[in-house]
Amino acid sequence: MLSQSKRKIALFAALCLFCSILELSIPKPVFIRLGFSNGPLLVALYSGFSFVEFCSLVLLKIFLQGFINGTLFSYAFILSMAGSVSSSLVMFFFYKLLVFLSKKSKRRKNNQYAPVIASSRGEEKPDSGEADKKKTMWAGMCEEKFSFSFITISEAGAFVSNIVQIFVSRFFLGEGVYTLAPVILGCGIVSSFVLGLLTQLFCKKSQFLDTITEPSFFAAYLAKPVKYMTRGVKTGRIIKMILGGACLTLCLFTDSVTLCGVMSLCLLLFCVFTKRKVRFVPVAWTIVRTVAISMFVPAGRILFAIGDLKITQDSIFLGLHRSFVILSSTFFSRFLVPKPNEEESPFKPNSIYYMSLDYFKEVSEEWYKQKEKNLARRIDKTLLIAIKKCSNVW
Amino acid sequence: MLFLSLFFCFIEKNRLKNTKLHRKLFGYYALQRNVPRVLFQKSAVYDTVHSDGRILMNEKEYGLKLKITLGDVLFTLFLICLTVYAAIRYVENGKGAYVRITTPKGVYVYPLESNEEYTFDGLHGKTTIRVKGGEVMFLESACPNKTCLSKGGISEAGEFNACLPNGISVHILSRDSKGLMHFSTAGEDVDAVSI
Repeated sequence: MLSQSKRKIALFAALCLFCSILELSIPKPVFIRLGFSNGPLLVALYSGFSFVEFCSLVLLKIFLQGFINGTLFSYAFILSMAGSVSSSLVMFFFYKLLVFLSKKSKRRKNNQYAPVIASSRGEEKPDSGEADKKKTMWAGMCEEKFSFSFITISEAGAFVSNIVQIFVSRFFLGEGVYTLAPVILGCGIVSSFVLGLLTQLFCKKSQFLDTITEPSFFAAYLAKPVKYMTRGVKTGRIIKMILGGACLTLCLFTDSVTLCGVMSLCLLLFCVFTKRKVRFVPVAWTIVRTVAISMFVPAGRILFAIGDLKITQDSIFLGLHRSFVILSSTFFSRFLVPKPNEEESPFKPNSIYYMSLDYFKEVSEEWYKQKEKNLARRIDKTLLIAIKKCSNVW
Repeated sequence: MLFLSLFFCFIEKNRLKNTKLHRKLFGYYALQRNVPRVLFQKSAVYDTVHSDGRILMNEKEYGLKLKITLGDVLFTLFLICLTVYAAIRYVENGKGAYVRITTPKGVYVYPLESNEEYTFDGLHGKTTIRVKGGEVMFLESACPNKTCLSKGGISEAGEFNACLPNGISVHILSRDSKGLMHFSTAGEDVDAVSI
């Protein structure tokens, strides 16, 4: 049995995963990310997560995504870690700042309303119960009082996350990333604007949110023991680690493009032999993207030119080298990271990790069963049914 | 953050004015109605989900009624300005100059910041050029007179050095210079100099 706040965190982490799955199902150009999985973080802020809870939610989200996508030991994980941690810190402090400011102005402006808002801390209205506090705080933060809304918070988060990711990715994509920076930042502003609007809509309309913010909810529900069983570390894992690690080290420290390519091919074959899912379109895209970014810093013999851009020999090789390094780290991590339902998974059976996976499973199963046409309604219905299934109260 | 806090101070100051416009923009209308809104009229869980899986959805509107506040618009504009500023800054500050090396076998381009020695095949033999610390110089050349070696290093955009007998010339180009955009074909530079 996990504590209330842990259950809450697990549920929201599962929602993050669910949102990233939803994002995958929306067709879009490959290099643009909508960042839907940050939506539940915003909702979590709104539903009154404390700082510690929020941080652990973010960490759990990052590690869950690392495990499910199998990117735990790759560059993508470092990127997502840097981006998520920085953006969530910014979002948290922005949110607190905005709430603080609005409380302050409210207290000064309208004395009748002030105690209601302040009572979320319980100073000015000590007689109101826990439930009342929650409700009034909720009501106080409703749509009409925010002069800045979720749009601002999500934009700030996305902007910071993009900047951090650009600076981090400079180390393994080269200087050419800076050329793309304005484009990435611009796309980030647009997508986070949309995300903010959607979150606002969700917070206003959702019955699911009403349900889980009921003070007694996490005390009573979502207490079902988890299904997955685990065992300890097997020797197979150590062999895998040595084999994959050798290939990866060779790939990282060699200067020759060919050797690097061969090593990443080896790792790819390992993945195929151990029946890991490898999708080839993203792999091709990684190569194309990395080489294209390397093109922005011309080096070596000029082969031909497209407008301003010179296509040069050495930068093609450099780009290939970089993409092979990135790919081999991806394959290595996919090869090594256990599947969630595998027996050799290193987690305790009743950990927050499996709890989260359990919620995620219910939510995604329910999502594909739904026939509802209205998207907002469908999401809401899915979530409601899923939390009902996850609770053993019924 | 400094900018933002200044901005908030500005808003606070304006709120004291309590004009109709400000009340409208920052949403005081609702507060003056005196009635706190309470969202939870009933226990949502018991009413919405039945034990047999049926769901009673409230007749809430699920339509798109969105509200974009003034603060959001300002913040978005602020971010867009930042992005544009970063872009302009990048273009202007592009000190990153390039070295263009023209040889009989083709044109090569390297960033001036790189720290390496390159060897090229010329008409007479091999020529080694070193790019180090923003300076380009000929190290060795298989030419008879060795005038290219005597010039030493060049580091400013627009400077030029060549080994004419071997057919190899070195140009330093700034990032936005036309030279990089319309690079000449092999040999042209050398002809121009020798004339």
